[in-house]
Amino acid sequence: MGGKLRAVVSATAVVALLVIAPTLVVMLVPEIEAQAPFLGIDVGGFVRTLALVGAALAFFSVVKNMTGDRSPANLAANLLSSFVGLYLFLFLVGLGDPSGFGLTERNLKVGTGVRMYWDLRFAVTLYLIIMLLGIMKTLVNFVYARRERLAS
Amino acid sequence: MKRTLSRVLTVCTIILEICLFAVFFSSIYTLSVSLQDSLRGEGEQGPFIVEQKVDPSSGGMTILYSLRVRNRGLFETSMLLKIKLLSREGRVISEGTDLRRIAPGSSAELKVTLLLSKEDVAAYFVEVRRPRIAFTLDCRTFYDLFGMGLSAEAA
Repeated sequence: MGGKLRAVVSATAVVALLVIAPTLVVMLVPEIEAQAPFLGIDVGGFVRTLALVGAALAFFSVVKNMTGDRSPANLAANLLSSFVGLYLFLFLVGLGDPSGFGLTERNLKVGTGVRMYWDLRFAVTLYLIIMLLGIMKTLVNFVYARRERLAS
Repeated sequence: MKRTLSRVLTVCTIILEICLFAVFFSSIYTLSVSLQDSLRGEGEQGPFIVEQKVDPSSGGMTILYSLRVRNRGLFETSMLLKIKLLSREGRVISEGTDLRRIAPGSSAELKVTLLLSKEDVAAYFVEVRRPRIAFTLDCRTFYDLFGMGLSAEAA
């Protein structure tokens, strides 16, 4: 697949998954907006953040696919998309609150003092390892592509 | 060299991604169904079955809370029930815990016994100063690496 076609396909997939799909789901299933406040989720803010992250990831995907391995823009896009991906993962496992790094607590709006929590720190750790491996691969590709260019 | 290193990193990343995906969704499923089933309960006014016994010789009281927990998930779970009896001022009058490991497809009964002295019964088991009960049900799975729980207080 050519670089341009790959760029269009991957950006479209990201936009469809993170921008269009959540908006459509909220529009088509109004119960979500009614039920989410029980878990302390602001549905509007959640969908807006997903759309923003989706737009950023789509942009980085286009830059990655349109530039070569030795381009600093490619390196920057790869690194930034890794960090935005991490933010997205933390945002999703924290149900809209990435600050807990996988450990989330919510006061349920049923009666008083009802609290629910979930501990997904192991998943976050695994994701961080995957992210670091991805960054290492990007750096290896970048360094060797620069060396090959200098050698030729 | 570049290709080899890059390929090794790609393969490692893909393997870890598959592991993360499988373990994450299996664990979330296990925790959700186990917690949901356990809180549905068998008691008349909630998930707990409560038995109170007064010891006529000492005047103290024993309160037994039992909760049937089930595991319909994919991995073994460990369920911890922690119950505290609190005064209106927030002082812990009595507390107890019980922990059980439950294999997939089976169930167990968590039992917590709270012991109250004669003085505590006299001080707190009168209408105006009825103690509050605080409970935590903690459910963990996949070598206790994933957890989900619920805590609540009731009069």
